[in-house]
Amino acid sequence: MKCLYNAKTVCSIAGAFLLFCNTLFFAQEKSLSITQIDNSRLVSTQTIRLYLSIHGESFSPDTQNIIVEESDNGKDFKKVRLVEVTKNANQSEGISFFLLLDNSGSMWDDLEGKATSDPAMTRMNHAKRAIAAFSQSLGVHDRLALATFNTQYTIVQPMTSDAASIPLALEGVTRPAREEGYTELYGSIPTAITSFTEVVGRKALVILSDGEHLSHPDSRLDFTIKQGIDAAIREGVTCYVVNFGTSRDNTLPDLADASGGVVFNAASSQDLSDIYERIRSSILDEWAIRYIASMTAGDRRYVRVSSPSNKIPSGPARVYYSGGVLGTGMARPSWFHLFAILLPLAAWLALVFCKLERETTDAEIRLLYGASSGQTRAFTLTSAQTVIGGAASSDITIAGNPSLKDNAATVVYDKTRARYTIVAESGVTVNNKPVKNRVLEDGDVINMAGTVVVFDDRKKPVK
Amino acid sequence: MSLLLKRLVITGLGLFGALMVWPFLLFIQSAQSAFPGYLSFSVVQGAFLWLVFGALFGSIEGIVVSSRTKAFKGILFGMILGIGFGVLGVVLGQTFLFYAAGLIVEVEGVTRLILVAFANGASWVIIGMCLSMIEGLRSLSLRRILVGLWGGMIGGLIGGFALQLVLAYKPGNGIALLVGLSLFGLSLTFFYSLFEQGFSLGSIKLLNGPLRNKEYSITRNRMSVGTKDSCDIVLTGYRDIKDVHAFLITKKGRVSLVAAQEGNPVKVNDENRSECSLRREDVFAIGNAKFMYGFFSMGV
Repeated sequence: MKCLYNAKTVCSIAGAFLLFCNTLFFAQEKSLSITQIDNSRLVSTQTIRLYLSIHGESFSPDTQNIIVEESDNGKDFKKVRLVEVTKNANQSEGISFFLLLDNSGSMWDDLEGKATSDPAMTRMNHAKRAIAAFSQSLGVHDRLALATFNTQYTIVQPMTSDAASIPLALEGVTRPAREEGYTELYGSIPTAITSFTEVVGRKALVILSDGEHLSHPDSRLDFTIKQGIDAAIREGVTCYVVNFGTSRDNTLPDLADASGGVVFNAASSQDLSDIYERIRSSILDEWAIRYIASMTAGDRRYVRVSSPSNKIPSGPARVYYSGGVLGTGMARPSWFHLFAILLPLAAWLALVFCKLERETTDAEIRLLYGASSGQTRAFTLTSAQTVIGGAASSDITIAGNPSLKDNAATVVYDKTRARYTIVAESGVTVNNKPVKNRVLEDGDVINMAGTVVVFDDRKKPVK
Repeated sequence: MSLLLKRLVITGLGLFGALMVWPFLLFIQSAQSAFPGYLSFSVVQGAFLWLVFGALFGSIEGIVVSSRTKAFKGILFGMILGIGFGVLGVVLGQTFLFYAAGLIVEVEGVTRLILVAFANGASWVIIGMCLSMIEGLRSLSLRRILVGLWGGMIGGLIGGFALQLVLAYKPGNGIALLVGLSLFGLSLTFFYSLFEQGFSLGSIKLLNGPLRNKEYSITRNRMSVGTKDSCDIVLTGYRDIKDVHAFLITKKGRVSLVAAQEGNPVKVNDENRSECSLRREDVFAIGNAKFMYGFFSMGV
């Protein structure tokens, strides 16, 4: 018992020390981090809006003491002109929080990591109390969602502005079975972030975990923290990490750094409540800077912020997309590019000025359809009598139509009257009227058992 | 002009447009840093892009029906409307690209390449749709607007995707832009001509006279036929045809031939009619110009 008591004491002291270090760390380090880049007005006003989080220093940024620089290669930065600096940028629009809560087996141990039968002593109970308290402190414009992860990822409460629903939803979080008690941390982060896709405005993911990522041994999924980092940047979500307990995942600080977030360590429900509130107020206190973006070529624009007058160096550069929809950074055209204009221009004008019809003077019949190839073909009528049919001995043989008679029709030319007459026994129509003998006019349509031809007499003027 | 030739001409015009606008866009993009912002950069590019494409597209109908007056009017209309819609399309496309590509800006490797290419393709869809609606607006035809939207969508997706794909391997290379524009122009016009037939309620084919073999797709609810240049089907070189001689009217999926005035000679299957609902393979005469109604690309 004594030994246990000593161990508890040591753990409590260690936890308090960690919290002290955490506080000390954030109190001393001065930094400016870009938490979000809004390029939605880049086309209309040529401006970019940056959301800034200021750590470790209390000062009021203005257009004089803040420097924003851009680069197209991440190395050669050039200063850009600031237009506006705004405080409390998120207060009017509110914040969307997504709380991702570890529900692995160890979260049901007590604060020192020992098994307990008292539900009130579990880490989960502390976390639930802190989350419930946090949900009640949200502003009217804020929204909150809650999900848990162990072997599985479970949505407990989809994004809502109804804070009263959170405590009730928390009651549904129960101790997992042994097989469900693993810590699928890396898979849960991108899943949670993806659910932010439809959410607009300032977005924050708060991850509370008491240990390292630990997949189920049979899991076929192979997630890494990189997928979480990519998702956070893609969706513009700032990730805050809360280590609850004595053990922690070493890769989570990378996620926080890359997304503009912060890592916290907590040892009790009060610490948790303080941290949640601190996250909210730090986002509410964020500054927004609007500046005129540069017009250099390239599809990636790097941006960084510093405050030399306050001795705050540039934090890591963030990137936004700057490529042109029709391309960017092309070389100047040469003289030979003129041919690319002149040649098609000449061809186009030729099409406008020239007619594309074939000129002939002989009368002919043109096949419209019904033959095997289905294409229009023309046959000149040069004899006094022209027999049309399916037989090879016909003057005009039309293949591919078994219904067509060997000698379906005869076109007779009357030289003295200069006119053509069609003669057929049966089964022939001209302009959809059955005929046996009829003088043909230019453009008459002759149907012979489904084979359709047009009589074309170009000698006869149409005008 | 047969349907095949018509498709070849329309598709060829798409390629001509790509070639002609390419050097202009290269010049504008080489001077990107001289522009005060993306808005003016997009406006100038959009204006040049559709000044050329708008003129070419506007001339299609005139070329198809061999009417220079119609072609020149179409060119003028296409240029004016083209500038407006081109600017709108490129500005909207650029705005969309910033949004869509912004979501994946820090993704690396092949995934990024493909995602950015898709984002650019989607942006070009907006540009293509704006352009290809011009012909529909010019002729005040909902069907042609729909045809244009489909053509523009497919052409834009292919062209924009190709541009980014080539640019990824050859950054700043003008050939990338030529490849993108050519695929855009070719596929936009090819699918436009393909969908035009699909959306039409059939077509009529001229059987005689100087315009023999020309096909006219029925893509509007009311199409005028006559000798006047403003008619949808202009018949020059024929006898007994009035300025506005007849109308092809589409109601509830059926096409009817209606004489514009009493006494205008109109025949359907050799019978005088002032109004008649047309069936496939019907042969009708307006003056002494003879037509057949059908679905020729599908074998009537």
